[in-house]
Amino acid sequence: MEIITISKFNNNKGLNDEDEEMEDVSNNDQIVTPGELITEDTVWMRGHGTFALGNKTYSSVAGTILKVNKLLSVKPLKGRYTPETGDHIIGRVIEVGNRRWKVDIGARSDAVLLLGSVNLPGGILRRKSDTDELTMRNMLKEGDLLNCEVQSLFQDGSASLHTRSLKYGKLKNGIFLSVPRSLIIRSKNHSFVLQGNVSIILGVNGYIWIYKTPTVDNRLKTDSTASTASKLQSGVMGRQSGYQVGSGSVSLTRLEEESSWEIYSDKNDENISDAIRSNIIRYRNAIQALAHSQIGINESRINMAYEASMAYGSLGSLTEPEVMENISNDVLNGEKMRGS
Amino acid sequence: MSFSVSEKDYLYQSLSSKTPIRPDGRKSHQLRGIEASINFLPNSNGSSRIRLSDGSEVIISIKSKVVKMSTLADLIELDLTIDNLRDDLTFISDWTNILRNSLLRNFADKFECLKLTTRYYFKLYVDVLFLSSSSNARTTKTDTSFLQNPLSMISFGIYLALKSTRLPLLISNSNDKDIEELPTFNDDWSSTVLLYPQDEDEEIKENNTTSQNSSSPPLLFVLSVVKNNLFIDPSIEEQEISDCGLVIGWCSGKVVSPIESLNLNQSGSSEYIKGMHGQNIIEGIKMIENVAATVSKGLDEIVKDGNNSVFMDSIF
Repeated sequence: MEIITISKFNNNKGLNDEDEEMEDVSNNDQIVTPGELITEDTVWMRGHGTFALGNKTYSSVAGTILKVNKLLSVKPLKGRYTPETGDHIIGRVIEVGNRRWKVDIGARSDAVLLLGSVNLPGGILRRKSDTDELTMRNMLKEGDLLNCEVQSLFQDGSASLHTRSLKYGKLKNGIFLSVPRSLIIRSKNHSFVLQGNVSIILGVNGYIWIYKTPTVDNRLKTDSTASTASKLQSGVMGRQSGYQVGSGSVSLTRLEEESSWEIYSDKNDENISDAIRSNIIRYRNAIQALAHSQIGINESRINMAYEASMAYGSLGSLTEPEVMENISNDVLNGEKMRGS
Repeated sequence: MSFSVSEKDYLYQSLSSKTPIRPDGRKSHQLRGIEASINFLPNSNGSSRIRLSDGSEVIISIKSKVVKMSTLADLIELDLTIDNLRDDLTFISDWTNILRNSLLRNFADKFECLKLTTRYYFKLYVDVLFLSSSSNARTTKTDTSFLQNPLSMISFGIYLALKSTRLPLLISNSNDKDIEELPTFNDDWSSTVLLYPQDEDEEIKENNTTSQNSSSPPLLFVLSVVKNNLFIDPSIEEQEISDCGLVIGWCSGKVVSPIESLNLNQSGSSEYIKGMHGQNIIEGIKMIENVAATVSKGLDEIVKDGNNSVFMDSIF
C-alpha cells in the first residue's frame, strides 16, 4: 500500500485540486515498517531510513515519516539518540582534548563540551585563561559523568553541550543506569526529587542518574533544579529555621561562591545511610522493571513502580523477570484506575 | 572508557559495608537469572545457549571425532571466541586454560565414556562463543574495559551442552587388541547414547555403585571479593571495584580445583586491586557449597526438558 499519495506541499504554487483532496491521507504520524512502500512518486529526495528500488521508495526502518521540503526520511522509533537543542542529558567524558571534552551521550557521534561552555572554578563571570586549559583534567576527566544540556548542533548532527547553569555539572552520590532512549518520555523537567531522600535525573538520551537528595542546606545553595515540590519543602524549612537572606532566590554572587572547585570534586558525601542506598537500588530496579516491559518512563510511573516494588521485601527478588512483569502490570493498572 | 571516580567510590562504600548492598540489589549469594536452551544446533553432538538479562549470550557446540589414542589430555579441545576480540589476548588464553583444565581434571569416568576400543577414542571439540552485551558500547575492538568475566556463564553452558551430548552407537567389535579394524557406528540418531546418562530411573539413584555414572561436568563460580564481603556472579560494576576475584570449581557434589584468584578488573586501573585474605577463600568455598547444588539441579531440569522436547525429533 502506498502511504504518501501527495506530491506537493500546501505552500507549493502549482497545487491542484486533486492533490488537495489527497492531502489528508498523509500525516506525519504515520508509522511505517521496514520494507514498506512509502511512495512511488519520484519527486521526493530519499533521506535517512529509506531505500529505493527502481522508482519506488521504501522504508528501511520502523518509524514515522518525516518530510522537509522535498526530502523524505523516516525517523526511527528505536535506535541511537539524536540530540536536539535544549535536551537535558547525561554524558560521560571519554577524552580530554584541546580546549574541549569529548562526551559519550549515546548518540551516533560523540558530543563536544567546549571549555568555554562550563562554569569555570571561581566564578561564572571570569574569562577563561591559559591556566584553565592546562587544568582541564582537574575539572572533568575521562570517565566522569555530567549532567548537561545540548547547546547547539553541528552540521553533521553531533552535539555541542553546555553546563552553564548550577543545575548542571558533575554527578556524584549515586549510581548510573542506562535504558533505551526511546523509553524516556520528554517533559518540561527531567530532574526530580523523589520520596525516600532520593533524587533522579532522567537524561533524554536514556542515561539515568539516581542519587541522594542533596541536604536542604546544600540544595538551597546549589540545586536550583528543585521541582515545585522541593521548592515548597525548602520554603517551609527556611521558615522554620528563620529568615535567611536570599534563601528563596538565586543571586549572582551566590553563583560565584558556589562555582569554586567544589563543583568539580569527586568526593561523595560521607553520611549516605544504608537506607538511602537501598532506596536508590530499589528505584534502579523499579526503572529496570519498566524498561524490561518496554514502558515509557516518567516521574509518576517511577513513583508507582517504586510503590509496587514495596510489595517485594527483598531487593534481590526485583531482578526476576516475573516480578518485573508484575510491577509493570501494577503500574499500567494503576494508570487505568486513575484514568490517566 | 571507565567509571567515574565518584561512581566507583559509591559502589565500593556500598559493597564494603557491614550490610552490603549490591548495585542490582541481589543478595551476596544470589546469581543473575539466565535463560537457557539446549540442542538447538542440528549438526553438532550437543549444544547449548545461555542468555543473561543484560543481553550477553553464550553459545556452545560440542562435536566429536574418532581419533587414534595418544594421551588423555588431547581428548578435549576447547576453543573460546569472545565478540570480535583477537584470540591471542592474554586473558582469553587464561580463561581457555581454566575452562579446559577444569574439564580435563573432572571429566566423567576418567574418560571411560569416550573410549571406543582399545585403540580408538572419541575426541570432543568444545567451541564456545561469548557475545558480550557491551560489545556495542565499546569504542574499539581492543577496548576490553567493559567486558564482564564470562567464566561461570560459560561453564554453565558447557555443563548443559555436555549433558545433552549424544554420541553414535558403536556396532563393531569393541575389542580390537588382536585384529585391528576401523570402528563402525549405527547411523540412526535415535539410537545414540548420551555422554552423561540421565538418571531418570529412581533405581539408579538408590544404587550407590552406579553413582559414578551420575557424575556431572564441572561448574565454575566466580566470586568478587570486597574487603570481607564476597559476591557471587559479579556484575561489571562489581568487578571494576573488587579487591580481587576468586574462581571456584564444583563437581558432583563437592568443591574441586580450580580454586584460584583472578583479576576481575578489565579496565586495568589498579587503584582497587588489593588482594584478599585467606579467610575469604574459606568463606567462598562455604558459599559455593551452599549454592552449587541448587544451580546444578536447576541446570539438570533444563536438560531434562530439552532432551524430551519435540523440537529435537522434528529435525531428525
